[in-house]
Amino acid sequence: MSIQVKNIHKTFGKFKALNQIDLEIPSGGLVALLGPSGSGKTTLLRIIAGLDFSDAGSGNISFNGHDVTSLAAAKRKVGFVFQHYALFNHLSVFENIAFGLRVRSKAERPSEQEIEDRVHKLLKLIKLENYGKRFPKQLSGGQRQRIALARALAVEPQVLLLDEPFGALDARVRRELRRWLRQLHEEIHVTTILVTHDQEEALEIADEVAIMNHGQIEQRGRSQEVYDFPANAFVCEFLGDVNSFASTGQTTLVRPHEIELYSHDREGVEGVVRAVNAFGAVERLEVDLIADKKTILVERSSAVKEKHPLRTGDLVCVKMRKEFVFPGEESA
Amino acid sequence: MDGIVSRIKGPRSLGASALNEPLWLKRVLIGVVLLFLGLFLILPLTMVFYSAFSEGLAVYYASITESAALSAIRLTFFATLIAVPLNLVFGLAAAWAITKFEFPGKQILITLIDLPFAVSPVIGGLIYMLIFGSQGWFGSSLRDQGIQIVFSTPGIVLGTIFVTVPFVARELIPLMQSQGNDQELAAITLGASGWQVFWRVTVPKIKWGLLYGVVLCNGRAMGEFGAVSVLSGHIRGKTNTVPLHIEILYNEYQTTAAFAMASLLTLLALVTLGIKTSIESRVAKEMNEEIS
Repeated sequence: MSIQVKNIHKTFGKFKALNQIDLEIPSGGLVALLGPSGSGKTTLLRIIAGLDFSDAGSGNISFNGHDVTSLAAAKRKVGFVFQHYALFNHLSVFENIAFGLRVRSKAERPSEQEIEDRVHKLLKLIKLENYGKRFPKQLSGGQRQRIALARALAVEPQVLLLDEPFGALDARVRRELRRWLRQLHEEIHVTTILVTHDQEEALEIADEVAIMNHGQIEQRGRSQEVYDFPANAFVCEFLGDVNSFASTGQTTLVRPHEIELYSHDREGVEGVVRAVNAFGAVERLEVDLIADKKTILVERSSAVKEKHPLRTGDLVCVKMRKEFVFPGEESA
Repeated sequence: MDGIVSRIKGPRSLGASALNEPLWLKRVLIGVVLLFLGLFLILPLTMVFYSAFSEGLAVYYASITESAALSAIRLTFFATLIAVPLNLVFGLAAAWAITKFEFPGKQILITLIDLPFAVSPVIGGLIYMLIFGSQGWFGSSLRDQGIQIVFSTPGIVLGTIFVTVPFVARELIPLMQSQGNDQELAAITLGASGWQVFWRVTVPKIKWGLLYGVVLCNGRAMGEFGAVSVLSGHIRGKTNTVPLHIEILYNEYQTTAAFAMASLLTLLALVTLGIKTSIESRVAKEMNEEIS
């Protein structure tokens, strides 16, 4: 089921939360809405779900070409997963997942046996087969979020909307669930929108990302594409660490791993190594540029590190391999 | 897990060593508290029962089953039976409106709900006298239609409702504010209707707070004296509630009978306290499960 968002505006009082949003998501796709907090990504997701409504007179939301703009959330057949799980604490895991089936009208409600079968299938899918009788409070955050996902999937939604689903989890569980979600998506292929402020998460999971800022979509494209060809300084800075050099009328941004360091007898900008952080696969160095009176961040692979070891106080020559140049003074 | 959270949130954690006071201070403080409680709470409470039974079981039984007493008990139950459900509905509606919607005058509404706690119940009674009494605003038109409110059962019910208005709402507002409405939104996206969301999600979420409010409201409704006293007119066997009946008995030097009736109210208070404590411990238990 494809999703079309056309010309959506949303204002809260004087604050423009969304400003003319157009977005198309192909059927079966997994798209991440990525942006800092307050950029409007969650508002957009809630409007797509029908939990919130766009300004009167602004555009529309369609699923597979059918306009759903004025359709109530309960009738949109969307699966929504909340950052803080929103599980029903008074119901067992089984009943949580069965909830969406049990609230159906008598004519549409599956039989008790069918409900049981479907819930067990979903428990298997989220790898919590023996947890049906437990209660949400007895489970870990990662387990709860998987149950929230199973609950959303139980009603066979046309689209799956995930609002910072891993935001409340610790880093290790987050990475695990990320990979698991990607695999799950390959399996079930439900059109999915993932809202996140974590660029690593978005770039890793999603087919495509839409980067939002101040209620607008700044850029939309495949992960590699937006990373390699950022449309503007904001996107470039949001997707990863950059060193920024402002000059009149333009800003130059350089990623730390796009900087090479040579011994000081070579040509280039001169600098002094201020600090070395060598743990892990990548070595991170802070280098003081002598002429600019500025500290830059440099990343070197372990191969380079072993070949040309550097220590604090070493004199080096700095060379930029790849620069992004954007018009305008330094952005946020 | 004995994390920082459980240490901070854990019930009555003693033993922060820096706060250890000398033993004599501890003993004196505990002694003062016990003495105070004994003198002002436990002694009077015992006295109520002691006096009630001082002339034997037969007199006790006769005191609470004579016709004026029974009529007072009936009226008290009747007023409570109307006031508590109304309060439940109003409290739920008010808490719902305040926590789920934004509207002008919200802050005033919150303040107004507390009004009956702030003013003396006697004033509540007087207000209704002013409105519905024979000299009041609607007095003559009510008389023309043959409706009597003050010095009659409706007045007593009104007075009881006035003093109990805040109970359920005050319990529910902070509870519902802290819970947020993610669960309700989740239920909606799963296809539940408004009615289903209310019964299957909201009510289970707030049931303890609701019960707590109802229990307190019930205790207050049965024990109310001030507002009801103004509106009752003290017609024996007709417009006397249990607290009013006690006062009359006492003024007529029927001490044993007065204490017999008082023992009923005291018993009610103890039961209320018991239910309240058990709800609190259940909620605390659920909270602890959440933390660990």
